[in-house]
Amino acid sequence: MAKKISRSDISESDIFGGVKASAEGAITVIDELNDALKKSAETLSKDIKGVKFGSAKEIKEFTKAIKEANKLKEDTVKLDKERAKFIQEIEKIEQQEEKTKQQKIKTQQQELRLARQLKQEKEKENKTRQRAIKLENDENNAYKKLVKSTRDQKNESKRLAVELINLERAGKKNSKEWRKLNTEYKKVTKSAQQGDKALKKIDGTVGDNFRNVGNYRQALGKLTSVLGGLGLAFGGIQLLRSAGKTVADFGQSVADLTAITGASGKDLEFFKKQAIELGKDVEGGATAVVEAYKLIASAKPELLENAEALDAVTQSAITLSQASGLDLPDASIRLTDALNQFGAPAEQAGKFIDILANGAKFGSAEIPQITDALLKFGSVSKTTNVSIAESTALIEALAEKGLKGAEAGTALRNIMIKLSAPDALPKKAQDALNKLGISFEDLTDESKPFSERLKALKPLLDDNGALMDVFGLQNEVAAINLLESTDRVAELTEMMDKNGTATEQAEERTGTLAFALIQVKNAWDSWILSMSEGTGASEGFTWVLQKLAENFTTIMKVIIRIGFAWVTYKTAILGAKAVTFLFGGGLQDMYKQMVKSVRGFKLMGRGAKKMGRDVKSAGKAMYAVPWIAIIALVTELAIALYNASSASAELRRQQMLTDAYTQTSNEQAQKRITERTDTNAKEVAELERKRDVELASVKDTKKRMEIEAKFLKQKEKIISSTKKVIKADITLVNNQKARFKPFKEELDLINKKIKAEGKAHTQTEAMIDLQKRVAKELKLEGDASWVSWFTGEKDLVTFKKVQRTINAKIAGANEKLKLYHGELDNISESQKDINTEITVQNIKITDNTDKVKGLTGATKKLNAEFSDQIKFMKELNDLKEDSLALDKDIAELETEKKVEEKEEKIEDAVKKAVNLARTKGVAEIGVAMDLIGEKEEMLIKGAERELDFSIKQAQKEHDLKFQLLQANLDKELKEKLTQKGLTPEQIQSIKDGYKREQNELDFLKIEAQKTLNKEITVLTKETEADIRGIKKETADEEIQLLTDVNEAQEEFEEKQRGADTKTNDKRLADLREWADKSRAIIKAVSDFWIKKSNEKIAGYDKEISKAEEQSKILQKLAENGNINAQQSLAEQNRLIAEANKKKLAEERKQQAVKQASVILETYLSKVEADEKNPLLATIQDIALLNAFIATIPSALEGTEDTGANGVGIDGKGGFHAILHPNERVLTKEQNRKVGNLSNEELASFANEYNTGQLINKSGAYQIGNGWNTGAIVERLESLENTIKNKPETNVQIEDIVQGAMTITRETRKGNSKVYNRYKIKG
Amino acid sequence: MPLHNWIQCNEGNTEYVRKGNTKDEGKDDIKWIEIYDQYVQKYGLSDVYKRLLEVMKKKALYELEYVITKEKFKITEIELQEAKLKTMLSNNGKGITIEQSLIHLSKWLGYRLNPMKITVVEYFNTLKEYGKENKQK
Repeated sequence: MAKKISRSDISESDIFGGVKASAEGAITVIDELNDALKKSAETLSKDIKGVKFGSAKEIKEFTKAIKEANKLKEDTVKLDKERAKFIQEIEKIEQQEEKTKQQKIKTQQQELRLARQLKQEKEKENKTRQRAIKLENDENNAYKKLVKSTRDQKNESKRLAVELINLERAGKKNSKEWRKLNTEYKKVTKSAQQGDKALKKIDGTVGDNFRNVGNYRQALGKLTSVLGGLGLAFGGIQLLRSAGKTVADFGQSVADLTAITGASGKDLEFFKKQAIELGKDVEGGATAVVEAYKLIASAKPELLENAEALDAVTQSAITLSQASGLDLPDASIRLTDALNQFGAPAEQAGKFIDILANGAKFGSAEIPQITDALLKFGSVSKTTNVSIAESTALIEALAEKGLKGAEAGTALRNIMIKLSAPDALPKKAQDALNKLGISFEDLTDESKPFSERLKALKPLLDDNGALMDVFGLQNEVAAINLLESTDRVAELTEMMDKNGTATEQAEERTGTLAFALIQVKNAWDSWILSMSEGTGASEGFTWVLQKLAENFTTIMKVIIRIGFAWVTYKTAILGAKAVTFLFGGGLQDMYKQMVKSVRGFKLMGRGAKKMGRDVKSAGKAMYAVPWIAIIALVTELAIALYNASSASAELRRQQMLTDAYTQTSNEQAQKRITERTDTNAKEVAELERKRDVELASVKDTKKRMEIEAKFLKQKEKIISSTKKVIKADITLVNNQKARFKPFKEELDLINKKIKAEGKAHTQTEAMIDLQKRVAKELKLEGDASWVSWFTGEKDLVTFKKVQRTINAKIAGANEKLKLYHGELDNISESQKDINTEITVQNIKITDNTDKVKGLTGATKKLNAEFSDQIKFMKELNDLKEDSLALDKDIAELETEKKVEEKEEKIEDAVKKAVNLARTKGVAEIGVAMDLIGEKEEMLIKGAERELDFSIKQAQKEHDLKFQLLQANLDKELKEKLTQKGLTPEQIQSIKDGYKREQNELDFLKIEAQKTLNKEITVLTKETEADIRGIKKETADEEIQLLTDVNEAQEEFEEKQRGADTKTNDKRLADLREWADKSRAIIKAVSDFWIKKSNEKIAGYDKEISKAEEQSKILQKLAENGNINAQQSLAEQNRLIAEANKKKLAEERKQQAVKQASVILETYLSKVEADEKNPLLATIQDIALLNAFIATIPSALEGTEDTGANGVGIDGKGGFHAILHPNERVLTKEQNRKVGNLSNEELASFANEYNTGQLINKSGAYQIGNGWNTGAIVERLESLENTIKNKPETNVQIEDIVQGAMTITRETRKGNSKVYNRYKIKG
Repeated sequence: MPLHNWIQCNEGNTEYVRKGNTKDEGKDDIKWIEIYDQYVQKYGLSDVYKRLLEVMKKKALYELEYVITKEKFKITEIELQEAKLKTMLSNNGKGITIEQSLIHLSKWLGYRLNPMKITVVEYFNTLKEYGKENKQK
């Protein structure tokens, strides 16, 4: 067993981490000290540079300063040395870490290798042991002995048969040697046959039929041929290969898990089982899950003691992986890292992933960035009592300011460390905190949330120097961001506690076609693994393929369904009416059927598990056909693509029309605005002309002022009336828009209904009425296709066109409104300016009156005059400010009121939309969305107005400040000039002084304006941020609306599914139609098979008949003693037997097809009867039938005795039995005569008798009750006589005498001899 | 003020500024500064001393620049200035100690000058004359 990973192994990196962190901390401190030294150096440098050595004191101070400079330098050198040392140390640690890491990897690899070796050795050992046990068992086991002896005898029989053949070929048939061999052969063969028979009997008794099943290759071959017969491709080899790899990878992965974690026995089984189950929903499957177990167990060794806890954390890692898009190993590492950083137990894994997901959802940083940051400061968070939720909120708050990942983590670590121990801060920093009244107790109070502790530091925001002293230059930006975001941190922290977000996000991310395909593949892999885990890979495979073949008929109907749908789809797509088909909902119907099929599959697979073995097998076999699911998913993809393309086309058309209307409206509105502007300009010019004429004839200041005031009032009047005209235009456009809106809502409803039902509607009265109203309103009567836009493709297009027109008109109206509102805003501003001018003018008039009065009285002093002037200016400014503030308050109040009204409207619209979705299933969200959009617009305008006010106010304050300064300067000048007895030089000097001060004032004014501009930029940016916030809120509101409506719609659909009987009837009618079509296909397929099968059977019959005729002829020849004929007869009989066997097999196939047809018919009937799960019901029925059939005795293998235990169903002790074609049944009496002969022996005898190896009827009757010896004697006597009377002839050649040769012929008959001599001359 | 006291004060022992047995320790430095100021007013700083101070100033500024910029080259500059100072402070350079100058002056005058007896003003005046004489030569 490999060494377990110990806790110390895992914590090694932490030791390094601590040292490293401490070194890094030291570097930070050194850097801060360096910064302080640098500052001192800068100050000192300035001092030294200015030394002139003018006095002893100066020289003394200089001496002191150079000492200080030297000390600073020495300190810096020392610090640099220390810093370099720490850097070296960090580098060393990093090298050490890397070395340890490498060492660890090496050790792990070695351990793995060792584990593998051990495993292999163990396996080898096991195999050897098992083989020995098997051998021993075989030797001791009677059954095995029989198997062995039978096998040996079979082999011996084969060997002898070959030798016999060889002898026959050598012409030694019937020789002594041959006969001996033949006797032995028969003996051995008979014994082998008896052994085989006995074995089959034993196997049959225990239900083991393996002797009738080939290996998996045969099973695969069978399946492939069956599929091939139907023209379906089946990549058997590829399936095998892929499955083999899956099994091998998984095996390796499990071996690694054992090596690293030491898991074994029950725990290992549990992990394997869970990995297979969880792997179904994980990219990478069961192997990836095992990998995750490994990583998590390594990171949290305490989990090694608790398999369930390890599994639970792994499940959380899977959810995190799915929610974040990280791969599972990465997600596992990040989750355990986070848990370890906070020292959290495994039970909190679920909470952690929800917090991470909440962070990603409500903030800017994604999960990987959050975990990167946590890795840097998690442990510090833990020690400073900052929860994972608040830590995540802190990360998100910094992310919103652009600081993310490890960088944010490091900054947070530094800040937390400083806050946790303010006493350890440099003295300067402590002084700064004390000066600002920041309590150290508040900072270190760990009972408070961290955001509260941060709040205590807020005064630092007003003192940059102190901020830098406390946090150092490196952390300054992060600290500012955090201090500015304390409220946001608190807000985010609350959001982090929402439960279930990780699961929600995981579901969202995995609800894709790509993930569905991964799931299909994983389902297949899981199934393969579960098979291999249960029975061993190769056995599992054989079983699968066998079951696939056996249950092919059941599987076929699903394929037919999908195939039918697929063919319909292809035909429709390729055909000219493809568009009509798609619009008519054909594709959707087909798709629904497919999805049903796939669902049926899964359901059946699940339900089947609870049933008997046969049903279970069928269920699993069918579950293992992934391509069906793939076809369905491909179709889904096709639909998605179609929808996307058609939707984008529609969007394009909509956009074009909207652009056109927006353009026209823009032009119309611009024209109106230009006309108004021109008219205004002309009228104002006329007024100016009149004013100038009047002014030309008047010299009195007051009167001139009055003329000016009059002019302003008239100008204001013109603007006021123009405002009224603009408002009238706005009302007009709003009215137009209001007229379109109800129609748009109604049209949207109809559109939704069409979409929901998937096909065109028949026109209803309400629709025709609406059509007329809309047509009248939009002036669309002239559109020919409008009349019946619900009846077909063309009409649907027109319907879309109508919708587009309405949408475009609304967009056009909005464009006009936008421009008119802009114009109104501008003119309102002008009006306000004029009002201000009027006020100023009035003040001037009053002021002038006072001055005049003062002059006439000649008693008022000049000082008073100027004081009054300044006072007036102040008052005037206050007035302007009041006016502006009032405008702003009024506008704010109005906006608030409008927003409140809008919110009420939104609430109503949302309620309506939700009700509509709940009651009618229609998602009509247009009105609510528009209102939310309008609210957003209002809020944004409000924010912009506030910005505008703030800018104006700031500008006015600036102006006033300089007006006052200017006034004071003027006052001073006048005061000086009014002094008595001034010489011209003195006057000139006063004037020069004034000029200088004036220049300075002007310069100051420009500089102040620059500062003001910067302030304005800040204000603008803040407003932009506010606007972003408003937009985000709007988006949230819209998402909420969509969620509510979707939920309501789902509720409706749920209700609808249960209650809508009308739809149900239609569905049933569709099902019936589908069943009829399927029936037709099934019938065609069955008929084809049966026809082909019948043709084959007829061929076999013909073959048998001819062979039998031939056999008869040979029989006769054999009877006449023809040896060759006897041999041919045996061959002929063999051929007949073979043909009969083939015929039998074919008849069985035919029966299987008929049975399949019956099963399909049963299934279709169940569908028509609207069974909840027709497939399952069919299988249950078939399973019952199979179970019943299994109880009926069968003599397919033949039987010598049917036994004595009948049930007496016919009063004679009879019972049901299954017979097959061409079997023979003997009566009890006949069977008694056969005696102890086995069927095989009986058949052999009969065969030998038939082939003439036994003497036949015409030659002897000895096969019967006894020997008829008389007949034999008679025969023998006859034979003796024949032999006696048989003539014998002998020819001899005599000597040659006188050139002639003599030949003598001796003929003997009975006891007499006759000699004949012949002479032959040459 | 005897020259001896002056030398002691120059070396930092400002208690030699005191007359008789007065024990006003707190004011030693101030008094010494006043006296030195009088000296500067009367004779001005010597060129050698001025150069010395300038070099010291330069060195200090380099040191501070090093603290600010961390440029290693500044260390070399500092070392250069240090070497310069060393030379100036050693007798090989233009500067000599007061004690050494007394020997030269005694020789020139023909009698030994006692630093305990000769006043600072007498010393510097003699030194001035000696300088003039030397220049004429």
